[in-house]
Order: sequence, then C-alpha cells, then structure tokens
Amino acid sequence: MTDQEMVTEKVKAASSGDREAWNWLVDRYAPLVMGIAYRFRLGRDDAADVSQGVWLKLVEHLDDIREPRALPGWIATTTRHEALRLLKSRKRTVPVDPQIGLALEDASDARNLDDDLLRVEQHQALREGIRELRPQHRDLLILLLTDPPLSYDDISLKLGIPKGSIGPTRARCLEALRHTAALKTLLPVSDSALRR
Amino acid sequence: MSTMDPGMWQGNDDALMQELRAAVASERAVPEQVLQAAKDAFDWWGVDAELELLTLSFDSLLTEAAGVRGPTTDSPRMLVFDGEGLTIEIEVGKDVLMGQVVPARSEQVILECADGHVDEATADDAGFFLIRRPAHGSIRLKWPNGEAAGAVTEWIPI
Repeated sequence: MTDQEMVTEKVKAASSGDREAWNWLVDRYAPLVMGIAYRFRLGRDDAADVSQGVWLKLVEHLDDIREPRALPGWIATTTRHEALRLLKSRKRTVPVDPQIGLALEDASDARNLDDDLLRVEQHQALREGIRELRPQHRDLLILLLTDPPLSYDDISLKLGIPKGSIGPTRARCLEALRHTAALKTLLPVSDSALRR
Repeated sequence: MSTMDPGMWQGNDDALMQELRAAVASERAVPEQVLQAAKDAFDWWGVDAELELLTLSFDSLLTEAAGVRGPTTDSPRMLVFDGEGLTIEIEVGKDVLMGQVVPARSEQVILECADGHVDEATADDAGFFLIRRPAHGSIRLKWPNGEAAGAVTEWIPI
C-alpha cells in the first residue's frame, strides 16, 4: 500500500468511527498544526486552543474530506484560519493582508510569516517523504537524523552494513527522497539546481 | 535565511539533511497534552449526529474589512449560527454568552466544552438566554429536544 493509499484508508476508517485510525491521523498531522500555530507567535496555551479547535472541526468534517490527498491542505488552511481568529480575539488588531488573510504587523513580517508557514508545510512533506522510502533507506535516514547524532560506527553496527557504504547509501537515499511523491509536489520542476 | 527554497535541496545533500533534521525535530516538539487533546477530540465523533447542525454564518472577528484596523471600541464579539428555519445569535460577553433564538423557543440550552464541561440555561419566552462561558477553548450549544427538532451548533473557539 502506498503512503497516499494509507492516508485514504485512515480517513475512511476514522469517518466510520475507528479511533485507532484517528490517532494515526493525529500523530501524523499534529506537528503541522502546532508548527503553523507557533508561526503566528501564539503562546503555548493559545496554540493548544487552536489545535483543539482544528481537530474538533476535523471530527465534524471527516465525511466531507472526499479526497484525502487534500487533507494536509485542509488542515493547514483551517489552522491558519483558527490562529488568525484567536489573534483577533486577543484584540491584537493589526492590518490584514487581503491576499493571504494574515494579520500582520508590517510588510516584512508578512513575508517572514509567509516564508515560515511555507517552511512548516515543507517539513510536513519531508516527513511524509521519509515514510515513502523503502525500509533500508528509511532506517538509515532515521539513524542519521537521531538527536544526539550517532557515529557512523554505531550506525554500521546497528544496520549491519559496512561503515564505508554509509556515505554512498546516504546519497542514494536522499536522491530517492527527492523523487518521492511528497517532495515532487514541492520541488520546482525546472532549473532548480541553478537557484542557489 | 528563514526560507528554505526547495531548489536548494537539489544536488545539495547537506542542505537537505539539515532541513530533514529540522523537520524531524518539529515532530518531537508537539507537547504531549496537545497530542492527547487532539486524540480526545474523537470522543465527540458521532455524538448528537441525529441533531441538526447549525453552521456559523457570521463571526464579527472575521468580518473586519481587509487592510484596516479592527474595531477600536470594545464592541463585543457577535456570532450567528443558522439552520433550517432556526437562527441563533450570540453575544460573547466577558463571563457569559447572551443568546437569542429566532424564532423564539423557550427551552433548555446546553453549553458543551470540548473538555467535557457542561452548563445549561433555559431560554425565556422571547427566546433569550444567558449562560456562563469558559475563559477559553472550543464550545458548542445544544438544544437537545423540545417542541421543535433538536439542534447543535458547530464547535466554535471563544
């Protein structure tokens, strides 16, 4: 089953009352919700309220999510909306950018927030990309991303692969990651290598 | 600097690894209570599914004209929920919600908070009711039964 099919199945199961499926969806998308809420500079409690509001809405609207591919977008949009509503209820009344609907202090803040939100969504895509990789690649990548970092000696031991192959495998694994469905939707199609 | 152009990930393994590290770190950064509250939201799945859902048609917080500052006066927040032949107008006060049911229905009104806290009031003959509100969080109002069909509002954060 592809990752996308898995999401589809979980949404379907949750909409007929499957709590395990719901928990799976929460585990996957909670970082997206909180990432966006924090980018609006909401405090911890306010961000928690926004998160709760978004998940309650999703419970209400599970049946309406016809195309699970659209779920991350729905969640991101709803979170922005709820974060904005909360900011306004705190009477932090500030100019609103009519294009993106964000409450902002000034134009440079607008750009920063927009960049930050984009980055939160990119992070979600990267996490999903990792899940799409085949197990050998995924395991290596997860070990390489461990915090605090593991040495190549440790990784070689854990995976039973020669230390010298870790570097080349890492390169193949990142290349595979770039070709996952999750990242392909993010990466610009043309002259991307020239944009440094 | 804060922006990561995905183009930079092409052919630059170190840049991509750095961004992956940040992506994985933000996954670990979700507080446990927040995760649990999100999972608990599912307790509400299918609850009162037989009641008519009244949808939010107006929230004064969201209707300020684009590009201008919000109300400088302390005018209270107004909410309107609509259903088939039933409209609920709510003024969100500091400690209470002041509600008006149109057309007037003198019945019990229940306030439900997402955490399970419940309060109730009875609307008067004119359809007016007062009900205590929590300081924050999502709520909904419910008309469990009565002469007319039961109804419940969407969740709304206050």
